[in-house]
Amino acid sequence: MMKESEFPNRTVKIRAVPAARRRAEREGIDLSPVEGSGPGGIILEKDIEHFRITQGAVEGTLVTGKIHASSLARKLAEKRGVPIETVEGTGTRGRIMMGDVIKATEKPVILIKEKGIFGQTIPMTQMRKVIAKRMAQSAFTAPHIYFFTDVEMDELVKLREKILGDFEKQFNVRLSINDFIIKAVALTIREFPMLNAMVKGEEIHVMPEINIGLAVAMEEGLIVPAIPRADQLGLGKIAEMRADMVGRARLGKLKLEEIERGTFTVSSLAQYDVIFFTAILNPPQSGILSIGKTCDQLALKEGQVITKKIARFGLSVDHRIIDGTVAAAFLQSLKKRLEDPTFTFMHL
Amino acid sequence: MRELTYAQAINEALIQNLEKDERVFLMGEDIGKYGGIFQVTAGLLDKFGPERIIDTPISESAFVGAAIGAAMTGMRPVVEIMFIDFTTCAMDMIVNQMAKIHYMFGGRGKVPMVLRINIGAGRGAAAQHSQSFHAFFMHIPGLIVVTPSTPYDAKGLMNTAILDENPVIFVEHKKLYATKGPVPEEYYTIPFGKADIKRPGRDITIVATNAMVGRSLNVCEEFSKEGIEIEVVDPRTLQPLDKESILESVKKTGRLIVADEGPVTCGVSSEISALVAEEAIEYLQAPILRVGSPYTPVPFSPPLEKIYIPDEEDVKETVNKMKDYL
Amino acid sequence: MNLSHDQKIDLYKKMVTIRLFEEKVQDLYGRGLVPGLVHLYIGEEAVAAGVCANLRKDDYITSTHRGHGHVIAKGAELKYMMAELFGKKTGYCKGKGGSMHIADVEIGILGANGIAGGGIPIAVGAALSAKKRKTDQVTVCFFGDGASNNGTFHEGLNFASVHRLPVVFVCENNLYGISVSQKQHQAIQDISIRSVAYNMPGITLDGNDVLAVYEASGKAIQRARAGEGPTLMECKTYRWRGHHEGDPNRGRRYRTMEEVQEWVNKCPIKRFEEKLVEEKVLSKTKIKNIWEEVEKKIGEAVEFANQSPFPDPQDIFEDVYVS
Repeated sequence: MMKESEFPNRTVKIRAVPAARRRAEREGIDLSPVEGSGPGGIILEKDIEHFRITQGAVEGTLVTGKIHASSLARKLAEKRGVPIETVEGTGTRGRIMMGDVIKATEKPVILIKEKGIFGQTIPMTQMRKVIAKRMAQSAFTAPHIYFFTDVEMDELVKLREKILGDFEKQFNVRLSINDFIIKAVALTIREFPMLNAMVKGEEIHVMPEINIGLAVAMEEGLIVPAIPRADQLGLGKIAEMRADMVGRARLGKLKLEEIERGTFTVSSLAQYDVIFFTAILNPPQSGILSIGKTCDQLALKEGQVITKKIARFGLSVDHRIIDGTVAAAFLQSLKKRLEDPTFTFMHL
Repeated sequence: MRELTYAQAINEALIQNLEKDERVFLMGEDIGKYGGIFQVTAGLLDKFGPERIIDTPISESAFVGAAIGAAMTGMRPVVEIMFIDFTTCAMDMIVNQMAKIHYMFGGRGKVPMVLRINIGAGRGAAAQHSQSFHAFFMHIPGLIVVTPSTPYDAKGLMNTAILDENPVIFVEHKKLYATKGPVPEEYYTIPFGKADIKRPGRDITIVATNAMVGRSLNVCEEFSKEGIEIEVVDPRTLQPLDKESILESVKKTGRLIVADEGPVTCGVSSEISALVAEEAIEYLQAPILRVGSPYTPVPFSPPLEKIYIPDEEDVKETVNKMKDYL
Repeated sequence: MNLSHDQKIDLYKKMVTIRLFEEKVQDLYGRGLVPGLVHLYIGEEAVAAGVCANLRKDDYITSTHRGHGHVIAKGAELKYMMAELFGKKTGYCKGKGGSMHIADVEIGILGANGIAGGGIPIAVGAALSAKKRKTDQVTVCFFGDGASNNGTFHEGLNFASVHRLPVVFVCENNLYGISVSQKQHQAIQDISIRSVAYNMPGITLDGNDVLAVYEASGKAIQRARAGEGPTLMECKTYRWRGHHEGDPNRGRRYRTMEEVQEWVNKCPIKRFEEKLVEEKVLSKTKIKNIWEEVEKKIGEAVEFANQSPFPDPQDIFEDVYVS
């Protein structure tokens, strides 16, 4: 029988007495931040009590990390193109079972486009239920603060126009403004690591890689696949990946990992007549960027009247770990990058 | 209520049964004239005569076997083996005959007899007269195993044992024979498979057998002063075992100590620990601890014998270990 | 069989040693200085002394719970015996066995035994082993009238006879198995007749006549040594005290004091002493010297036992297994 020490990659197991474990499971508490007062530091049931009290109003930390699902459920979810994290689990301790996936992939009874919808009571689809739960969780756990800035998109638009054709020839994908934004955000996060962090109890986990998620709207709700290590990738690669993932998202063929790896989200409503909007953080992330429509606006330049292409960017952050100055500085830095694209996107 | 010793309580039970049921008779070594090595059968020969109180030759196989035959054919024998150690001389009769007859014969035959034995070290009787392997009988399907800890329990359980249609191993304890307690004069029975909460508590459960019951109770007062209330559960019968009472107690306190004389290896405490781990693990606030003898034959020398016996000090030590989980 | 002058004195001395040792134990036990249980051999000395005088150091014996006499006769040292009775570390069994389990395989003592009849199969085994190893060692098996009813007696004798083993079964019939008289526990009077069932010679003799015991056992031992098989020897004798120290009033619960006195009058030591005085082997002075010498030896044994330490607590775990 192998000893614990012979498993090099195993993480240290948390020691807790059975009654404590049961309590933690029932109340959705992650044991890792709990301090044990029993012999050898083992967690006793009373330690969980104590932990809850000292955490104040917080109704327990979010259970982060792995989504519990049976292997059959995972396989079926992948087969049917449903991101497993959007499926509500009805198994032991919220485990997602195969039946749950089957249920989630049933066609919703009533589509939103149908005319006879007024006066109807529509049951939530599985996906909607999960989204609703997570949105509520995020809103009520993380104190949000919002910041806005107007970005002059002229240079960026010009740059895109210029390289569009060649870009498509080389990378076989149509370059999008979002690609630039993704890269710029990633580079800016390098300066402001808190925007890439997650709160876990009394610890701030600064994620090792900058994976920028792009929100994709679907009939059933939002899906956010993430571009991994976006700060290190060339624009071409970003565009490729973006196109691929968005495409698969629309077909429901994303992998769970592609969603789970996200550390920051970019959400764009630029195609609508929305000037700006406030976004709710995508839990457990600490920052989200919202992009409004780019509009032509009148401006004065050296006494002359000119037009500028202005897009209003919004930034929501978790005020537990990001203060106003940090958020403001981030937004300012991002604005600068986007307004001076040549320097930004030179692969220096 | 008047008080009797444990030995006297059993004596009274035997008398009351000999009086009311002529099928009852006794067999054993030196139980008649001598009154039994621990005087449990004192006075019975004079009262009931040599036909019903039989002094046997030193032939355990023969007289235990004879009891089986008598029980199968309408009698209700109560046999004494002088020390549990000597049951080894009649092991075939006990394991292969007594325990299995009703089952093997598909119910066409039963063995309603009582086999009285005693366990426990502490009288310097050395290795062959002091062992406590009653757990062995708990492991043999077909046998009932009774372990009274007080004079009251002893009389009631003996009455039930004689009434019962199954073979009963009645496990007495050498050190309990002289202990005193209130015993009703009338005939009464105590059901098998019903534990007795000798002391209610809410912090720690001690499941104890025979002499360990008294030893456990003796340490409770001290811990009560510290605000720790110990619940002492006496199963009274090991087979059938009152699982429900044990589990209920553990679910309440979350902390279990099992105290039984004899080594813990494969002992009564091992079985009870396993049961609780299987059926109530999520209630446990602490690991299950066991109190028993060291894994050795019983030594003769008095200081070693004292170490061998799991006494109040050993129970206290274990409760102290449990305190870390309070 | 003719004993020499010195051999007779040795025999006498042996009996006196057993007697005085047991009386000393009786005294110490009564004063609470010996723990546990003791079963005294007082009155039966002739059997152990007479039989063992025929044995070599490398012959074997198995004994009973009433074994002090046998082991002393076989050559056990008084001081190690006394230390064992006291429960001291220096005893034969390091204090772990006590009175009923004294043993020293080196001098052929395969143990006193707390189980009635427990030594019989073991003795048969030792005889079997001697036969297989082709030595001419003999095993003597001591047991009582009580044990003669146990399964091990019948199984043991049968096995020994069918395999013609060099074992001598010596039954010390002291008329009681604890409190149950012989009349009550068996239908026969002379246990030796059971030998017929196992096709071996059986004799009954006066166990308090040490010379008779010596002669008869000598013959049986010779037979065994010559490979002619087992013998059953019954020695009628009597224990003066109760079954164990603590048996009230020397066994008054189940026997009369008249009966006890009858046997005290037939004291084996007295009888032999008178004979030896008559034969001019012993004189009053010599007798006195012998008794004093033995007293002294026993005193030394007690002293040794008193001075010896008790075992250490961790000794409890020693010898559970051979390491």
